Amino acid sequence: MKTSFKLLFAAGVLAAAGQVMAKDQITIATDATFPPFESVDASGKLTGYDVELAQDVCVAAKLDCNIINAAWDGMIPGLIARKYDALISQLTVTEARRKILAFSDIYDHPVFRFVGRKDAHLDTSPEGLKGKVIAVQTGTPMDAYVTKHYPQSTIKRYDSGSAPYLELAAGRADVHMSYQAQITHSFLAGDNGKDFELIGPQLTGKDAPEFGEGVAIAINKSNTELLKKINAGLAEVRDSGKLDALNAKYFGGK
Amino acid sequence: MLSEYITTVLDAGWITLQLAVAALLLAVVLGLLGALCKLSNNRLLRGLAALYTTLMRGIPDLVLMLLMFYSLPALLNQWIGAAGGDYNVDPSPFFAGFLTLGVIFGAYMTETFRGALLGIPRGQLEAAQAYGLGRGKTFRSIILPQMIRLALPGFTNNWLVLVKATALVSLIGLQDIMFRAKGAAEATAKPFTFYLLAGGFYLSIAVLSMIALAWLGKRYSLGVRESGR
Repeated sequence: MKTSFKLLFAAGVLAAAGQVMAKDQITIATDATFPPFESVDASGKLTGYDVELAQDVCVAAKLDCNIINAAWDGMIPGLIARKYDALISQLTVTEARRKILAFSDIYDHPVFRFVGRKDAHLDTSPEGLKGKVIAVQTGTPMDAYVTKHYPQSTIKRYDSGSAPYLELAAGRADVHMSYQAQITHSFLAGDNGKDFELIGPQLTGKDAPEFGEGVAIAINKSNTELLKKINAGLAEVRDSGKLDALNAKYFGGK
Repeated sequence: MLSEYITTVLDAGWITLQLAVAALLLAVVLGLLGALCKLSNNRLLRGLAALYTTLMRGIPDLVLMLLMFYSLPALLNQWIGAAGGDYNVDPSPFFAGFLTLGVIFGAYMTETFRGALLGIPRGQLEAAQAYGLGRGKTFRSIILPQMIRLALPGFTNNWLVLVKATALVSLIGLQDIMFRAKGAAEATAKPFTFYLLAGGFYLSIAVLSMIALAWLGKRYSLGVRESGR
């Protein structure tokens, strides 16, 4: 027994040291709890739009990348503390974030949408949702948007992407706002979502500043060299048509 | 597909167990040292031990963990950089979690062991001295077996809380059973399945530990029960 305990200790210390040694490798963190953008497959591997894009960018920029699954709460602090070299996780570019992070060129302009019961025929204007319950994931652009524009609705905030759908299905929330692609993939395509539909207009960063300028890869402010490489890689992925192919695969050719 | 996810999640239970056992060992070492310091005649040692248990028992686990994982390495790197060094301190989530949980539960163990040591009648120490036993021999043959017996209930309690506290380390990115359960829950939109699975895992660890420690408790109190009758 004693030796196995010692091994445990050694493993812990080595794991700590290992990260120090592999310096040439770029660590990219993603919060794999947001399908179809980033999630884990049945074998525990990372998959999704952002993950595939990151892989393509790394190949194009000739970077040796290690894409890891990290917890959302620790991602931005981890980037600032240089635990991670870059983040790709549907990060919305906003003025506030530009003050502490550097962003690559924007690679996507996500579409935001409300989802509600088919038979409720809700009007999604602030007046129409007066007194209704809106569910959102906390700390997201959707949260900022409904908080600002729907003061007469009750806003319920959840810290995971899937919880609002449980609330919708259970009737504890009237509508939910999220990325249109996420709603379709995680809810409407499944059994729980069969009585629900996308409602209201398609919204983007052009409609409200809360939705941000678009999504981009975040990099530590002091790492200008990596920023240049990633932008070059992103441009190549875009020019070669790979980005369009990825959009077609995940969003049906937007 | 669901069964594959279940296997992937349960596989991570091994990481949870490794972390819990490693942290327990550190906690036991710190707990013994802390208890001896608290009972020593040296005022400085007593003060240091009191400071340690107050701080560690008074600050939330999560706060300490975030400090250990983000703030402390950043501070150290700043110092190293200022001193002209080129070394980058970057603890893994496992190492940061091990250190934090070990240090926190070391404080609880300190109190458990201190109480157990106080429960040993002073007359036994005097008797050991009268028989001419040295300090080391007294500790090993007289104090330790009785301390284990008296500390076991509190120790069991601490261990059960520690196992569950490892779930916190998923917040700094350790791929333990909780982290994997969350990933699987979000990927499949079946949170109940996977959180219940994780809950069942912690529960089974707790039940097995209670059975093992109850058996150990019986062994260590053999002589006492006899003489009590």
